[in-house]
Amino acid sequence: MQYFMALATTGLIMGIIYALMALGLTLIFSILNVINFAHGEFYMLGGYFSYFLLTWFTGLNPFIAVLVSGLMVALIGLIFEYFFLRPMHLGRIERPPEYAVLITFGLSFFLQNLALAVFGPYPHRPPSFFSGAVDLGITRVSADRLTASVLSLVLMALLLLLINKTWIGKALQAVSQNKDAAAVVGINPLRMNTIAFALGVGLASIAGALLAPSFSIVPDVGAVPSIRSYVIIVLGGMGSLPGSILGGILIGLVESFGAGYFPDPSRGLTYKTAFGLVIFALVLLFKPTGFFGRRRS
Amino acid sequence: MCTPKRLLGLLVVFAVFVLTASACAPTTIVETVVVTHEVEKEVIVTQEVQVEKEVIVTVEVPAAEPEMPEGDTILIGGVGPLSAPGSFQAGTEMRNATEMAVDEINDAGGVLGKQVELIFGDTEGLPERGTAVVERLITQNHVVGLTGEYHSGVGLTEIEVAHKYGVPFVQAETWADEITSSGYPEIFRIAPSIDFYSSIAVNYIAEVGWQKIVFVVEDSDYGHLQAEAWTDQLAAKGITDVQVYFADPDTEDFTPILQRIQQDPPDMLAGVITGIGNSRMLRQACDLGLAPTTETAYYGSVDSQYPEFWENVGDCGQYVFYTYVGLPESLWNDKTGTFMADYETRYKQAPGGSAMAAYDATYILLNAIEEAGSTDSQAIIAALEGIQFTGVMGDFWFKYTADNPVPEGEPAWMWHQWPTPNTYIIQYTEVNQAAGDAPVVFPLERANGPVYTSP
Repeated sequence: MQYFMALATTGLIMGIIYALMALGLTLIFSILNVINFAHGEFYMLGGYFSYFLLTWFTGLNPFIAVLVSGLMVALIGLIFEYFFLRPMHLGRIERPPEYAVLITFGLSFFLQNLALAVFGPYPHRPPSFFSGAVDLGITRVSADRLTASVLSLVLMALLLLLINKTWIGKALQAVSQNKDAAAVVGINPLRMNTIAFALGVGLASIAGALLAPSFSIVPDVGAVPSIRSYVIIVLGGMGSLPGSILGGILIGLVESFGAGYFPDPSRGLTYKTAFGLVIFALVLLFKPTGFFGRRRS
Repeated sequence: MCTPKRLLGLLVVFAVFVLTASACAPTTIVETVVVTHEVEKEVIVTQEVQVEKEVIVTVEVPAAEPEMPEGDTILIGGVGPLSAPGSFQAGTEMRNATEMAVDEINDAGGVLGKQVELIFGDTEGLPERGTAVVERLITQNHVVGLTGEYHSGVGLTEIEVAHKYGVPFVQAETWADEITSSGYPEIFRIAPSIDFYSSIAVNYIAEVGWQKIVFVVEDSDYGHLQAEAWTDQLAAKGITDVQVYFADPDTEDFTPILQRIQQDPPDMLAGVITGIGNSRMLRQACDLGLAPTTETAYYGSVDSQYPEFWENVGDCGQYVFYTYVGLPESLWNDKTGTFMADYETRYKQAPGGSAMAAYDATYILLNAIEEAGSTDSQAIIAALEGIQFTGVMGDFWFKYTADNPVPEGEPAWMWHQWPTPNTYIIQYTEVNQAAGDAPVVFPLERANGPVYTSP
């Protein structure tokens, strides 16, 4: 039973962190109707920015570094959206869906190779938020991972507040539901696109910066989390924020229990990602719109 | 009706057409042109057949063997992983060291009086990519020899291509026994075979007296071969309580498996994972309180030798031990010291064992070309078989060659294998200890520290 609880605790903590990253992807999809294939690279940039901020400015509070790296990446996202995605919404691109896939894929390759050239191939790790591990009775958890998980919960709560309680949040929701109707009531959909993209990649960056002390950073560190995020947003329902949170936690738990209880223990870890994909396939089979997804016309 | 004149005219036009076509063929057909000129003089119908035959031959020649280099350069090919999913940390080191060796040789006057040009191909850790890169280097770039490679799975496919075209290849960092047990005349290796590499750690485990061993190995050719070799060799020593878990090299979270292992902690936990996986696993095992502890020792992968190891694992790296392929500082020769200093000056990074291996492999290949006196493949292979070269990792030679085949009783991988690769067990006894300062703990005759220091 203790082993079961230990796996549940680990899965829950990881699931919350997964959800944070998937939230950014969901936000972008729900507003822009674009799957951001460079999401993992924004996660990677967040880790690197946090690392270099803490290396160059000795004594800087790591939480400030996380926040600043989020803002820096949000700014990059804002510029990218303005120059490369906005033309799509202005009717200047002949085949917008294909263009969106190609441009974000291109950005993904570009950022990954740029990181390799600029930051080098060796793994880096920013200083810990808190050193050591915390004994939860059931199991020990690294203080860094626990911190990342708690902060992820706080950020998710703040995001939900922003979406549901502020004018910008309601404007984003309006654009998500109907761009033309939103424009009629005075909301600028193009501006909302930019805000959503910057906010989404900023969240990915913060997730990367929060996890960098736990998992270190290399140029391809975003590859696995981004694939997982795609699974989570489909699982939760494309464009649904609560769905992404639930999907993230579910994937975290399934991966943890799958790896821990797989009949052939030597293979449990190898198939870890596949366990999530099995759940993904089942949900698509029985509820194609995901947990909270709505059918799109 | 065709008159004889018209027929003769047609034949002349046809012969001229064939001559023109053959003149437009690849630039490798100097001899063919000479022959076809003779044909034109005779202008006889039967000569057409000769001309066609010659054209066919010229098509096959460039693919069959590399040419003599044109101009003032000798082209060699380097291969290694420079991007994911390959271990691009090791690959970058190998490329840097190969470039450094080529530059040094060029500064000293080159080889056979010509400058050496290196074309380094990124094999990405993918076997199919390795095949394509080596194929391109041989058939399009016309390299006269190859050096490098890090991943065994990739190396195994590359040797097939090198063998097909008869191009000599000095493999620097591939460990699979099959690389040299293939018996291919073109393939040489200066890295240890997995059989040999594993035997060092297995003998060490037996020496310390650990009985319950758990390996977490990467799910790749390298990992599977390692797992098999470890398990078999430990069983031969009477150590049978051995468990193996596989994991993708880019796994982020090892905790579920580590929690399972923690239910019944072993005497030794090993992270046989290239890239960043080993550091992640070590930190997670350390956070869980699993290893390294007084009950459970931690055996790290080759990545433990990189300076970034400490940045990534912090205090958890103390008491970690690992197999080091290369020369520890206490055993450096003059060349090693110069190389280490020059590399660090040039790349602002201390080199690891992969850099040393790539550097020596390049020197060995180029020395063989110089000794062969030509870029003919067979001459280079013969020179490699007889090479005596002191590099940064020691004195290189190949014991079993065409003149001295591997005898029965010796493992087949000894073919074209450097018989004495430097392989040691090193243990970090202090936090932030440089690999060069860490004591060698095994083999005992080379040890300069206690066999194992427990937390």
